[in-house]
Amino acid sequence: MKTLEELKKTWSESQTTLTTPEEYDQASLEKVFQSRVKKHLNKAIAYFWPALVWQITVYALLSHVIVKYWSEGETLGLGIVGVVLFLPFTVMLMKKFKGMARTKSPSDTVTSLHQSLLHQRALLLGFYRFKMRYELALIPLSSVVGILLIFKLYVPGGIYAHLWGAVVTLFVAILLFAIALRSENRKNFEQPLHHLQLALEEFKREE
Amino acid sequence: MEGPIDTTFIHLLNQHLGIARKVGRIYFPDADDREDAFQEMMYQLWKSYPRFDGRSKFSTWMYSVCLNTAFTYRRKIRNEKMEPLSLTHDRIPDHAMASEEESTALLFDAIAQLSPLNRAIVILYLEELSYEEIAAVTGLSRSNVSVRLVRIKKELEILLKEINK
Repeated sequence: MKTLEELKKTWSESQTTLTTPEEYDQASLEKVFQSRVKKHLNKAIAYFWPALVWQITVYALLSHVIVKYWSEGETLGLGIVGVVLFLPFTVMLMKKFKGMARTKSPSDTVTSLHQSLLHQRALLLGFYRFKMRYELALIPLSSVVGILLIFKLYVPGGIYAHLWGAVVTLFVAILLFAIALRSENRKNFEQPLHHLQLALEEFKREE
Repeated sequence: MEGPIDTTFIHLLNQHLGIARKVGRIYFPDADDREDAFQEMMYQLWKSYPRFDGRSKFSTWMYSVCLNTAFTYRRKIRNEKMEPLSLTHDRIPDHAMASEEESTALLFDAIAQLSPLNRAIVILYLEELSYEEIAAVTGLSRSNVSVRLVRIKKELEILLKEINK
């Protein structure tokens, strides 16, 4: 059986037996870096873009309501409440996302594997906690505002004439939001956090 | 891209490309993932290079960045739960194969079956880093590194026996 010293010898010999890539020059390295930058950007946009489109749609609809129903106090009020509800989220989303995207590099500001994992976990968990708290408040409130507006503007008799219909619509809207968010959170936050936790637990183990 | 790439960096990188290949081979059984991870390592090295102060050897620093990248990148690969094929699964037994090459492949196979952290420790040990340096790269204590290495050695012996069967 090989001793660790013999394994060391095999390892150092692997330097020559391993298929090493061709050497890089200025142009080939630039090509690699450009493709990585593009890949990182696409990944960030894949998450950011749907959130941004959603925000734009909501603001566009609410602005339309505010302008069109400027003279109707109740409708105008609902439109403004909607904007006020979404505005902090938009600002915080931008700030948190910017912070997360900037410090995402595993080799930034960290000195060891353990620190790197702790750092990544803290960033991801911080953003996830903020997102969860905000969604818990925002989804029901914005659904209420949206349904009040829809029933007021497009359903004859308004919400008072169709109370149960409004309640069912509200329930369906919240359920759909919850299903979509659950799936998104699982994929983008819970699974990565679980993997990070598993990796960190290995460091805790005193063998 | 912010201007031309430092020529010293390119020179050092070319000298030590084998480090990224070794880390890639041990952490990424799938060839596509491995190539992707390799490019990510190059990118992370370039991004981190301005902070390389020369206090440690370039190779130690490069191991540190490559291992950090491997740890981060591994969890992003979705189909990680699938049981990877052995690194040598597609090799037709070839008696002419150099025994040196064969034992290298077996060693890589065995190391790839250790836990992610133990893989990092054994890579650094085989690269002849001191216990202090291994502790600094991983974030473990020196004594923990030493204890773990004893266990890793035993584990590797068992794995090599199984692979040899």
